Amino acid sequence: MFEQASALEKALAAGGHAGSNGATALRLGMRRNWHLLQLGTYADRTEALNAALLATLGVALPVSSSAVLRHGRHQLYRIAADQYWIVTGDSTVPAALAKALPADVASLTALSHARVRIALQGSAAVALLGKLVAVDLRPQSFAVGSFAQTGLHHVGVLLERLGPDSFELYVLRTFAASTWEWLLDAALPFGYEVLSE
Amino acid sequence: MSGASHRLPTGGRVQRGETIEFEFEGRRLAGLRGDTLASALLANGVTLVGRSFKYHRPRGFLAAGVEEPNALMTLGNGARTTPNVQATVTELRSGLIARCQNAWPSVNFDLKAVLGGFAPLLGAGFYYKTFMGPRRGSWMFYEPFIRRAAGLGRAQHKSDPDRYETRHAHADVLVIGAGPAGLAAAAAAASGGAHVVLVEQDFVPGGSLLGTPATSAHEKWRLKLVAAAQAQPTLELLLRTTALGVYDGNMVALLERHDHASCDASRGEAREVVVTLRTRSIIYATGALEQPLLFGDNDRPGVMLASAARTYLNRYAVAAGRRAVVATNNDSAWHTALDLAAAGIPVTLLDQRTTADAALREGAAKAGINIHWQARPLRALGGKAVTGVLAALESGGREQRFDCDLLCMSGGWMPAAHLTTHTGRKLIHSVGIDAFMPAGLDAGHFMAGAVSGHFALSAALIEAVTAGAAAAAWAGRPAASLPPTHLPVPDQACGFEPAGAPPLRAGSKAFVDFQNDVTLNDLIAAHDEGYESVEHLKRYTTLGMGTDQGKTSNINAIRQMNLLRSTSAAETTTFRPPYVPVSVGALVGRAIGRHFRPIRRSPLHDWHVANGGVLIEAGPWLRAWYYRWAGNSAAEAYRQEMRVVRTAVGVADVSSLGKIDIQGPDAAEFLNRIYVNGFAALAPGKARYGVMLNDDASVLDDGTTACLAPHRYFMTTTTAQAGEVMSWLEFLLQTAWTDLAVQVVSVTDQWVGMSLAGPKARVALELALPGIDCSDASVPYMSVRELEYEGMPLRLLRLSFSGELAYELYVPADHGVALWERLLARAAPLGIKPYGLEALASLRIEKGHVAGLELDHRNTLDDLGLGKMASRDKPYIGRELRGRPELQAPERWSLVGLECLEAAQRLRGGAILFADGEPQVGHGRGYITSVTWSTELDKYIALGLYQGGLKHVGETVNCAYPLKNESVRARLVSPLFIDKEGARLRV
Repeated sequence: MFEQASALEKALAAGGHAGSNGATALRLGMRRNWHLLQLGTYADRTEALNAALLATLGVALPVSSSAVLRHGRHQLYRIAADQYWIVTGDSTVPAALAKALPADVASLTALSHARVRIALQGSAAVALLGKLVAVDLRPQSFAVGSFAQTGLHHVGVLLERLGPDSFELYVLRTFAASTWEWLLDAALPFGYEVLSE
Repeated sequence: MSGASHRLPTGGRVQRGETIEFEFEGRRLAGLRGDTLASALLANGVTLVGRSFKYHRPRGFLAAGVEEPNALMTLGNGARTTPNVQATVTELRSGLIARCQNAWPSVNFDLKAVLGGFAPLLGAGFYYKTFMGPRRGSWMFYEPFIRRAAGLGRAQHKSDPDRYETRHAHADVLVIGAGPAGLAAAAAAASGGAHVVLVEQDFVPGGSLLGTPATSAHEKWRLKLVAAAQAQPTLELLLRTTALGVYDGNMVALLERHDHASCDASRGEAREVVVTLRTRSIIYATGALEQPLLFGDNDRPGVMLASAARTYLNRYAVAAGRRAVVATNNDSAWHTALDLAAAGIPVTLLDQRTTADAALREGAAKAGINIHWQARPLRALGGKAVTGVLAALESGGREQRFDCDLLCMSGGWMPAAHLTTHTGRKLIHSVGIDAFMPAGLDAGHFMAGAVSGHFALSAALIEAVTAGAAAAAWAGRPAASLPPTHLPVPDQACGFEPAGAPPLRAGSKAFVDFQNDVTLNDLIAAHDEGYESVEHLKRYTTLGMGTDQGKTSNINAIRQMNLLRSTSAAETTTFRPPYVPVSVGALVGRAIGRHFRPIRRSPLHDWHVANGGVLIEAGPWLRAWYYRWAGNSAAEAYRQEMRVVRTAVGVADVSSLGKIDIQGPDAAEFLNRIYVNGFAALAPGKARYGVMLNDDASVLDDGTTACLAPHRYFMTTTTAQAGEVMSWLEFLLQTAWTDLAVQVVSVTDQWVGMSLAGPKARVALELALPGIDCSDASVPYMSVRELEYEGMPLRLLRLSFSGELAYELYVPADHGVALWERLLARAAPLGIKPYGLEALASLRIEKGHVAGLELDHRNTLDDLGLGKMASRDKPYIGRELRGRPELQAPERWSLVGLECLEAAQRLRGGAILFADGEPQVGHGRGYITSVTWSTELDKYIALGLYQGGLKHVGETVNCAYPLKNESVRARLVSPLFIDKEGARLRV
């Protein structure tokens, strides 16, 4: 067996830091054990694709490009007009989808290793993100269940809101350590602890 | 420590119980909580605070706020030195250190003040006219000396230890300015639940109301307005925050200052923060700025704007003088006269008009103010402090001297409309106030109060409530309950008469721009020389170009130029961001040091660092340059690493190569169009080297694409062009070829890539991954196999960059270190070693492979010797333009190899190539692109571009490197230095 090592192994081990008033208003961490597939559609083939998805995942493609579609252990994101992300905790999904989708119906690309999924939680989460991304995070604009693709430290990321003070970021793996350092620097005045999975 | 000689025993909005010590010019002084540096200095009797920019004239405080042109100081010391800070907006804090600028040895005795004596010579344009000769370039010689004589504070060169940040914010309504109009507008806008951000540059909200007596009805109203605003749950009041600029799409840059909190950078506390705020609507409630009167020596310390004297008196309980003269052309300065008189200061009032507001006249008479009508100041008297004023009375019929140590002046008010023009809108002239005001605003922008040219409080209040409601409605959150519009305090009288041309006395200077030392005579000179347009005027005289952006000078200059031109043409200047100076640190925020840009790390990065890898930047990537096992310098190590690859086996991290997943029923057709060579018939299991062109026929990139299955391909690109190729493919699919059913996805981050190269590569692979049939028959040259090995997806390609038997292995990124370590461990008996970027790039030179240094978007396929690859049977991008005669010219610079002919010398990248015997001048016949020591040939070899290319093989050239004054002889050869038949590849 080949061991696995994430891009943040070393960074996560470094631990937390108290904020300027001694508090820790943030919890930061990395999610493990999930799968990411990018799905590309072709014109006139969405009917066949939806049928295959319903049969495999029990859900069809989302229409909204700003709200996450949750279904059981699966989350679906429409990331472009003809491209979708499927994030799932079910490790049988990649193989099942590969089997269910002929090459002329949709493209399927595994990206689980291409992204690092970072969790940001705590009372300062919104303030922290205000330093990082130009997204309007006020609840009326970015409610729980919303997602946005934006730039963070010059690199494209996908940001999702899981709760009023709970977010996740999907960061390109090769930029993840750099993004993590940038994030910790911004978190310095708030104080943070590192979430253990 | 000095006593507070000029602090009044009562009044003001300062906290008398809280003394704050600070240092000024090496003296320990004390002020009170609530003071600015300016008010604290005035309270201590300090009136001389600077020397002027050009003439080194003594200067005092002109203003009490953001418009101050004189009192620029250097704060802090050492690495924290900050020059050119206005004392009038600096909140006093304990331990503050302030120094005067532009004076030597001291502000009291400045040797350069002698320049003032040459003033008649030093008018506008003097330096440029005088120092432009005697020959071309003279100005460059003189300029540093001239600039040293003039000037502002000096920056220092140490790294700033403070922390600066940037952040984003969003609002429904942004209200700029928390004066009475801004406070009322914000409360109105927030009443229906709109999220309102109210920004105020001061550390106390209230704007002009802070200039009223602390015991007045106005103060009670101010407190009520503040309380009403703060009672709105959706209203955020940001003090110490200045709107710097307004940009397209309702984006506003704000500067937050936190100096008052003594920020500790080590705890992450930022001294200044630039906020990029995006809002649905904007209300400008920025008020108005009082303008000076023009008269002789109007810059003497103690000559002050009337509103400033009133603010110092009422807000800070500081008497700026003990005997005052107030000169005005409008009603507002009467309030200053009344308040000074009420504080027991004898006041003489010179009003150029024949009458004023009745209530003001009555009040002045009661207060015993000595009033002169149709009276104007001619000249201020005194040197380092004003001692009196010579005035023309009875419309110039009589002159009289009045003694004073405080001369207050008011030439009317100019709406602070700067921000409204940042999106490109011009201001228009308003006759009633003889000043400029916004002609109109962008959609979703509103204004309230003095900025609109309405100076009365009653008008401001009505406007504010209306604007608040309109802005909230625009933002989609209509106001629910509007505040009352009935003014609960006496209104502001607004009578005004334009000042006209000043009656000037010869021998005295009337300053128009205090900061840049531009006088009325300079304006006259500009007019005489034809620089009449305000845009010419400002460039000729530097008027309005100081750090204050002419807040107290532009309007007076335009008024005077119009008088000189006998025109009323309402020509105004352009205001640009930032509204106030902003430190570069705040604009940069945290994008400093290693975060100047993001860093891209290979999945093997930590292994390299822990195992003797020395890193080098390659674009955003940090790559392993060489490894310490091979030597202690790159020059030493790469040769050793090359030898391992040529004689045994090496492994290199090639994760930075661009990797693109290409799928779809039309994927083959797509590849066939973007590559110059044919890809339509590439069978599953096969890989092919391809070159793609830009649509101008220059080479875009090269790389290998492998067919994994029908409709599924794995493309690799060079590290440098990965992003560009990806964007190019997406662009083509989304615009040119929307009919193609193809999906492209970047998988650069998904797969870690390793190049296993050397004659023992196959054995190494068999040792590391037993069970995989790696024979030449099973995995021939230019083939791919997609495997699952011990539960791990594995893509095995057989191709070679080095020219040796080689494989590229791709596995999901998280498995990278485990596979890498297994290769090194199991193939250790073969002598396997890791090799770095330097060796990787050198091995390919021996093999004549082009790379980033040759693929510079200027060279064509034929220039690089790849013309034969291009298909004649199919269209591809760049094909048509490739045939242009200019691109096919036989004398174009094209790819050659070079062998060094001088044993003791080396070749250098960038060296210019000259034919043997040819004089070495100019751009030569080509240049060297890549150089290496060849371990196979035992000499320096290079790739380069040479006029006529391979036609000249065998000729000797001189490689000139002027930077080192070198010229080295080399022979032109084929770029294929080793294994010309490719035998090593096919074993």
